[in-house]
Amino acid sequence: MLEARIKKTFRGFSLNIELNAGNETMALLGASGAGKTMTLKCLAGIERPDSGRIAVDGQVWFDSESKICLSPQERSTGLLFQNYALFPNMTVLQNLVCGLRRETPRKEREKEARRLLERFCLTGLEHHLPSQLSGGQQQRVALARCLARKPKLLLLDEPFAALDTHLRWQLEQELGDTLDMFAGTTLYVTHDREETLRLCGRVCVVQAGRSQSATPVWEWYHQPATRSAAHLAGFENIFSAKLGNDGRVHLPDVGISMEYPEKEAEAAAFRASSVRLGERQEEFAVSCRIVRSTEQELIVSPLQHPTSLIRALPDNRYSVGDVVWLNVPRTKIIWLKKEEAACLPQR
Amino acid sequence: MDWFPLLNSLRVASIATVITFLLGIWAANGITRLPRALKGVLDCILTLPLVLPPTVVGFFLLKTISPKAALGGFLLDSFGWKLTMTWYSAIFATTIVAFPLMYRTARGAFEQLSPEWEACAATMGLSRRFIFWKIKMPNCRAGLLAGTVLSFARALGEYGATSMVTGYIPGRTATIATTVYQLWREGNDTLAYRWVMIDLAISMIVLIAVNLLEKRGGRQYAGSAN
Amino acid sequence: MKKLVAVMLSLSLVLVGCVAVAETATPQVELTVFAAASMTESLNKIAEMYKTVAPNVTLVFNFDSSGTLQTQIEEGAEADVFISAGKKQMDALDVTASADANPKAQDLILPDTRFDLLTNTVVLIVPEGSTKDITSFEDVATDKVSLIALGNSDVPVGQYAQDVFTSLGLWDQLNTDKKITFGSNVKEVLSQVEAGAVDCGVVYISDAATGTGIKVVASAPAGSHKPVNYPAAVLKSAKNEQAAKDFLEYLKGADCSKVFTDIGFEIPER
Repeated sequence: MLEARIKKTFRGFSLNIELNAGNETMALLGASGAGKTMTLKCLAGIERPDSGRIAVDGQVWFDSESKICLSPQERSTGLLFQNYALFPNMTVLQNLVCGLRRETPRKEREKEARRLLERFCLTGLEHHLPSQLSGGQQQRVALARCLARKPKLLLLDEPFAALDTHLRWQLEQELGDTLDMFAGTTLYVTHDREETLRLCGRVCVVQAGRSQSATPVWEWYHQPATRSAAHLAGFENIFSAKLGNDGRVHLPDVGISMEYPEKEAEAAAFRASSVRLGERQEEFAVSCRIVRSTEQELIVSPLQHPTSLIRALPDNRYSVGDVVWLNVPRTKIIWLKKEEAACLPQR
Repeated sequence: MDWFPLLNSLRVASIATVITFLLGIWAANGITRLPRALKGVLDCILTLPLVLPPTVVGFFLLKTISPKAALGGFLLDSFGWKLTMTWYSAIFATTIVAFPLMYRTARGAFEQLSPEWEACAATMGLSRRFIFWKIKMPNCRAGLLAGTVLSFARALGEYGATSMVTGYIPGRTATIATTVYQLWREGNDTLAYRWVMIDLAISMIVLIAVNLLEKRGGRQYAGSAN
Repeated sequence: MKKLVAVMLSLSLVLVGCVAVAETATPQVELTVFAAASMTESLNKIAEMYKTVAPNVTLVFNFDSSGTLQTQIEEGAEADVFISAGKKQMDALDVTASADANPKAQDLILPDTRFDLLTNTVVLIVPEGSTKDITSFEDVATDKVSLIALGNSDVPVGQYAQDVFTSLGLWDQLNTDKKITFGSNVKEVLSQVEAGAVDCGVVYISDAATGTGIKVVASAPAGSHKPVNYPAAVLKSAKNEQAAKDFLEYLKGADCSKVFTDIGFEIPER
C-alpha cells in the first residue's frame, strides 16, 4: 500500500509525481529520462525529494512538512537495478546473507539464505562469484536478495534491460510468478510496452517528470488518455485536434473535420491496424498518395497536406504514387486530452 | 659505509605512508558526502601539495612548526617538543607531499565503484560502516595498494621540504636525498654515485610493484555485472 | 585539439620574441656579478650607489655559497665578475695558482684583475633571547648545545668553522655527538639560528650584522683558522670586460670601503 507525492528539481529537470497503489504491480511507464529512476530513488530513500510525502502501509517514510525522513536502512524496500548491483567481492550465498543481516539472528541467516537459493532455483551456485554467473542467474540472485528482507515495497528498475530477448521470455514468466506471490506493492519501471502488458495490473505514465493518473493496463492500451500514453501504447498515428464551436472537431494536419459532441480534445490517435484503404467509406476519410510501401508498413500522405504522414499496415495492392482513400472507423479513433489534464491536481 | 641515510629514509617513508594511507582514504570517502561547492574547494586544497614546489611546502611548514612560529613555539614551550631539526620532522614534510597521491588514487578508486552497490546495500539495511569495510574497501583493494606504493615512493624521494625542515645532521636526520646533495657539494662523487644507485634500485622495485598491482586491479573480479 | 596545439605553439613563439626584443631594446650594459652570499646586503647598497656613478650599467647579482658559484662558473655560467668568500674557490679557477689549488688547471679568470677585496671575522652566534648561556666556542662541546648549524665543507665559513673547532680539539667530538647540521650556504645557517631551530651557529661578523633575531657571543680565537680572504676577479668569459674592470676599481674606492666596514668587514692590505 503506497501513497506518495514527490516534488524534486534537479539539473534543470522538474519531477512532480503522485502515486497511489495497493498491493499490486504497477508500471511506471515512460520514455528514458522521464524521471522514473529518480522517483524510485526517492522512494527508497537514496535521494531526498524537495517536498512531498511518502507513506507505505500507513507508516510515514518521508514528510517534508513534519521533517520526517527515514534513512534507506530504516525503510522497507527491495531495489533491483538494471545491472543487478551484486557485490562482486562476495559469493552468491554471501550476497544473500547480506540481505538478511539486519533482522535475522546470525544462526538463522545461512539457513534462510539457502531457503532463498532453493526458491529461486539457484542451488549449486552458493559459492560462485557474480562474475561467474550468467545474466539470468545474476538477475535471480539480485531478485532473491531484494526479497530476503520481505520488504513492503519492491522497486524494479528495468530488470530486463540488460538481457537478450530470447532470455527475457522465460525470466519474465518466473518474475511474473514471483510478483504474484509478493505480498506488497511493486513498482515496475519500464519503457517497454510488452512487459507492461504482461506483468502489470495498472500503469502510471510518466512524461517529462510528471505522472498521469494510473489506469488499468487494458484501459491504457486500448484507450490511452494522453499523447504520451498513446505513444507508449504503440499508436502509430497521432494528430493534433482543434475544437470548432459548431460541434465539430478539426484535424488541421490531415484536413478532416468530424462531428464531435465532447468538450475536450487535444489530439486524435488511431493504430495503423485500424486504417482501411480503398474507396471512401467512413466519416474519417481522406484522399492520400502512397509515399512508401515495404514489408513492414505502408506510409501515405494526404493530398492536401503532403507533409503529414499516416501509417498503415502493409498492403501489396498499392504501390508508391497511387492515390487512394484512407478510412478510419469512428470507433477506432481515440480522443486524447492535454497532458496536464491527466495529472492529478496539485496540492 | 654509513647506512644511516637508507635506514632513516625507509623509516620516515614508512611512517609517512601509514599516515597518508589512513588520512587519504578517510578524506576520499568523506568528501563524497559534502555539498558540491564545498567539495570542489576542499578537493583543490587537498591536491595542492601535488603541484606546489616542495620548497613552497617547506616554507609553509617552517612558518608553522619552527620553534619561533605559532604552533612550533607553543608545543616547545608547553611540552618541550621540538618539531624541526629532528628525524621525525621529515615525517611532516613527506606526509604533506605524499598525501595528494593517496587521496586522489583513493578517490578515483571509490568513484569507480558502482553507486548502485551502495544504494542497494542501504536498502538492504546495511550500515554505512559495513558498506565501507565490506563492500567499498575490498573492491578497491588493488587501486588503494597502488596508491599506497606511489605514496611510499614519493615519500622516499622527498627532498626540498625535507631539507628545509630537518637540516642535514649526519647520523641523525640525513636522508638519501639530502645526503646525495651534500656529497655533491663536497665533491665526493664516488659516494654520491653509490647512493644514487641504491636509490635507483629502490625506485625501480617500487615502480614495478605499482605496475603489477595495477594490472591485478584490472583483473580483480573481472567480468562482474558492473 | 589541433587548434589548441597551434595556439600554444604561437604563444610560446611570441613570448620568445618578446624576450629577444626586450634584450636588444636596451643599449645598456648588463654586468653579471657572482658574489658570496655574505655580501648580499653590502653589494645591494653599492649597486644603488653605482647607478649614479655609471648610469648605463645595470648590475645583476647571483648570491650563493662560493662553492656553488665556483661550480656554476665551471659548468659554463655566463658572468663577468666573481667575488668569493674563500681563497680556495678562486684558486680553483686561477691558472696561476698552484697545482694543488687548481688540480684541473682551469683558466677561467683574468689573473691580473684578481685582488683581495675584503676580510672578515668568524663569530659564534645564538638566537636572540637564548637562555642557554653559551659564551664561547668551547661551550659548543658541552651539554649547553645540542645542535649547531655550520656551512658544509663547500662553504668557506664552514671550512673556517671546521678549522676553529679542530684547533680547539673539538671537531671529532662534535661529529660523534651528531651535533652539527650542515647548511649549503651561510644565509641558511643564519636563518636556522634566527628561527631558533639550532642553539648556535658559526657565521661571519658581516652576516651577524645584517641578521635580525641573533646575537654574537664570541669571535674565533686568533690563529684558529686560516685568514679569511674575499678575492675578486674578472672572469675570462666576461662579455663586458672593461665595464667589469671599472666596477672592480669602484669597489676598491673609499665609498664602497665605508659600506663594507659599516657592516663589519675589514679592508685588507693590498
